[in-house]
Amino acid sequence: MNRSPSLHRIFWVGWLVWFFLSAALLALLPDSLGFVTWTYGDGALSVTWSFLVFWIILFWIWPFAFRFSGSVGAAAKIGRAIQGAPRRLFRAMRTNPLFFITWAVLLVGWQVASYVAPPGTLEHPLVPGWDYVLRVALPRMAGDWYVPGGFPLPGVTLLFDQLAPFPAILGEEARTWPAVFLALGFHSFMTLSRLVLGLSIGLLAGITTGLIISYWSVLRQISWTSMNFLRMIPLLAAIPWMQVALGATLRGLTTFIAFGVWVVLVVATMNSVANVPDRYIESARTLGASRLRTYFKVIIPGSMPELRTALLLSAGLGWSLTIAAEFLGFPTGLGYMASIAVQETNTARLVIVAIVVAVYSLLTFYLLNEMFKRLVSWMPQRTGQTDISKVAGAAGAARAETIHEG
Amino acid sequence: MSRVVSFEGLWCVFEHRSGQLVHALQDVTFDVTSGEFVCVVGRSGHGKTTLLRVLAGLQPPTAGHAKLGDEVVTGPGADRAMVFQQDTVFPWLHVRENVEFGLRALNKPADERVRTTDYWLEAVGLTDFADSWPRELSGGMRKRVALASAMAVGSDVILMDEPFGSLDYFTRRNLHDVLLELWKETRKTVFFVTHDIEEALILADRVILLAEGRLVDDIPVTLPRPRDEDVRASDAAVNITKVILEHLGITEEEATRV
Repeated sequence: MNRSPSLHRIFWVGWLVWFFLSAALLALLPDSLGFVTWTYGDGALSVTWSFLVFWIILFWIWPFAFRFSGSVGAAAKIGRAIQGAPRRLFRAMRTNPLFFITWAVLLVGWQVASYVAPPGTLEHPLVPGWDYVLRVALPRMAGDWYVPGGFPLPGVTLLFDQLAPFPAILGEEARTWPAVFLALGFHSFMTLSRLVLGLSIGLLAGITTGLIISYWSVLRQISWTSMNFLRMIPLLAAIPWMQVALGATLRGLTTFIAFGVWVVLVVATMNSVANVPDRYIESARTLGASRLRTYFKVIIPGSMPELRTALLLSAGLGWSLTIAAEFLGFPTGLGYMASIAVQETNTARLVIVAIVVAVYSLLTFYLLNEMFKRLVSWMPQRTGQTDISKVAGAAGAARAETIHEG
Repeated sequence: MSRVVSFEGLWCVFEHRSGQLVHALQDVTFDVTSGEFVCVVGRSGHGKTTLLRVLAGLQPPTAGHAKLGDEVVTGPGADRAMVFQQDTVFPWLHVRENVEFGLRALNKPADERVRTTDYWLEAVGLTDFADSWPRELSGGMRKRVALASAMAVGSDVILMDEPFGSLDYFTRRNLHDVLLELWKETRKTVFFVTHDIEEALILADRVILLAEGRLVDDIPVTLPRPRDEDVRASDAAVNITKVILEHLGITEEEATRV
C-alpha cells in the first residue's frame, strides 16, 4: 500500500467513519441478527454482549481489509514468536535452572503435603492437593458468576447472562466451565480496574505532593510530622470508616487505595529527595544553576533510584489494600472470592485466588519495573546478575583456607 | 595585573554539637591577582576547604568577607566555577550533557552550547566519550569531565578543592599537565586547594599556607616551568619545601625520618 500522508489520513478518517457506521448498522438491523440487540428504556441502555463483540470485530476488520500487507506481517511475527516459544523456554531452563527447580519443588511439595497432612474436620481438606483444587474447587467457582446490578457504568446495562447462565440464580445445574472462567475474568476485571485507578491516582498524587513539599523547607518541616502520623494509621482498620464515609462504591475504594499509596509515597519521596548527595547540588549551584533548575535537573533525577524502589513497594501496598478492602466489604472482586472461601471453609478456593492474585501482582511489578527502568537508564542495571556461584566459591575458598591453617 | 579575588578579615567559626567552638578560619586577609595560579596548602582540617567554600559562596563567613573583583560574595555563581574533591559528575547525564549543564543554566543559545562543549571536550581529550554515561568512565576521566564542565561556563576564576586527591599518581600527573595546559591557554585565575606539597610545587605561582585557620605564610614560587623532576630537585624548590614543612609543624628531622 502506498504510504503517502494523504492516503494515511484517509485511512484514519475512514476508520472513524466506520466506527459509527458499523454501530449504526448493527442497531438498525436487529431483526436480521436476532441476538445482536440493544434497547433503550427507563433511561438505561441494554446491550447484549453479542452486539459489542460484533462491533469490535467489525471495527478491527478495517486494517485487515485495507492494509492487508502490514497485517500479514504482524501475524507472521506473532506466529514466529509462538513457534519459538518452546526453544526460548528450553534456553531459559538451561540458563536459569534454579528458577524452574524451585517451582517444581514447590508444586510437588504441596502435593506431597496434601497426602501427609491430616484431612481435618471441615467439608474440604486442610491441604488440598492439585487434583482437588482443579477437579473440585475450580468448577465450584462457577457459583461466583453473577453480576449484581449490571455493569458499573451509568446508563448502560450489559446482559451478562447471555454469555453463560448465572448458577447463583438457576442453581447448581447451571454450572458451566465458561461460567468458571467468566467468574474469574469478571472479578479480576473489577479488582484490576479498581487497582489501576487507585494506584495511578495514588502514585501521581504521592510523587507530586512529595516533590512540592520537598521544595520549600518550611512546608517540609510542617508536613513531616503530620505525614508520618498519617502514615502510621493502620489502613486496614480504616476500611470500615471508608465504607461509612465514602460508601462501598468504585469511588470509595479508589479513594481508599489512592490515599494509602499517597501517604506512603509522600514520605518516601521526601526521603529520597533528602538523600540526594549534597555534592551534586553544590556542584550545580557553582555552575550557575538556579534553585529551580537545580531542583528539576539535579535533585529529581538524583532521587529516582530510591524513588523507584518506593514506587514498586507502594504498588505491592496497593494490591494488599485492594484485596483487603474487597475481602471486608465488597460483593465483587478477587478479595470477595477469597471471602467466600472463608464462608465455605474452602482452602482449595483460597489456593486458586492466591495464585491468580500472585500472577497479577507479579505482572504489575514487572510492568512498573519496566516503566521505571527508563527513568534510571543511566544506572548500571544489576538486578538479577549477581553470580551466586562466585560468591559461594569465594566463601568456600575462605573456609578451605581456614581449615588448612587449622 | 588587577586584583580579582580578595579576602578581608575573614573569620569562620563553627559550633560543634558539644557546644565547642571550632575556629576554621581566623582573620584571613590576602589578594589574588588576575591569571595567578594560587595553591592553598595546609594540614587536613586547618581551613583550606572552608576558605574555598566561602569564596564559592557555599559557606557564609562569620565575619569579614570574600570579594570577587569589587563585589562581596553572597552565594554560589557561575563566575566562580568549582571542581570538587568528590565525584560530582551527574551520573544521569551523558558526558556531553554534563559539560553542557552550566551553559544551559546560563541560557546560552544552542549553537554556542554545542561549540563550547565540543571545544572543552576536545581540550580534556574526551571527544570520543561525549555520548558515554559517566559510569562507563574511569575516575580520572570523570575528573576531566568535571574540569571541562567548570571550564565551559567561562568564568575567570576556577576553584579546585583537592580535585585529584583520590586519583593514583600517574593519573594525577597526567591531569596536572592537562590543567597547566588549559591554564596557560586561558590564563584564568586558578585557586587550588591541596595538602600535597609536590602538587603545589608543580602547579603554583604562589603558595598560601594555612595552619589552624590562620594565614601563616605567602610564598611566591618562581621556579621555571615546566616543573619537571630536575626543577623540583633544585635548591630553590627544596628550600620552599623546607619552609612549608616548617610552617606545617614538621621539622626537617621528622620529614627525613619519614
